[in-house]
Amino acid sequence: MKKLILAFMLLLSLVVPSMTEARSFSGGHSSISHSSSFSTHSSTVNSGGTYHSGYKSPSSNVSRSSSYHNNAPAPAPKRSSFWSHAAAFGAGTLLGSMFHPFGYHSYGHSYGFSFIGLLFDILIIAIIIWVIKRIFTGRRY
Amino acid sequence: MEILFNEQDLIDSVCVYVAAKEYTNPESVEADLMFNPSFGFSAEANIRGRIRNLTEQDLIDAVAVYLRDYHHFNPDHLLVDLRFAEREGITASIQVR
Repeated sequence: MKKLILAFMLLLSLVVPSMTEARSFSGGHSSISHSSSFSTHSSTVNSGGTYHSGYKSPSSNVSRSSSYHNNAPAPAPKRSSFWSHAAAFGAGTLLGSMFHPFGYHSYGHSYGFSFIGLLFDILIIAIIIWVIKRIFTGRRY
Repeated sequence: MEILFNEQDLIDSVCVYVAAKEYTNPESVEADLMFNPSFGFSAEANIRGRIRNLTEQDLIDAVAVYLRDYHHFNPDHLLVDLRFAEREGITASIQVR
């Protein structure tokens, strides 16, 4: 029985891979050391308890150009803010004229409440709601 | 010329390699190097909870990418030998042709 357990433990130690703890990036400050002598290994060998994968070249997926600076997403192209300002100004003017409850003054004359103006405002609001609805429903796939 | 990578250098290589693949920064990647006499070298990368497994060739590519991006080596001139010893853990020797 003891021999069986011993054999099982030995088998387990051989099968379970050697693992290191999960570690993260140290910041790229590598401790590269250079040596003038090297030995070539063409295949996986076990020499004095050290396993070698053998010298292998990177695959063709590794391009010569650096990917380090391509990781960050490209900044959005800077557009002129003129049209956004113009649209905000127009929307403000429209809403201001529409929701003014007591008519408006022009060149010293005062104009009161207009039913036609109210209908026109309702028509504009309906058109705006229709356009917004169409924009949002049109995005569905 | 021969360049020697310790285990942290290999971890850094994996982090840089996986970060480039996943369009993220290397600091958000955790790497776990593995060696099995039967299956060779491999690694497991954790990118904010998402696991990515790397083969031995991926590890070699990771070393090449790291040396290219951080030390301006030409990947075409590199030969990578992954090594495992009980005391040193997983290391690498890179021959620059």
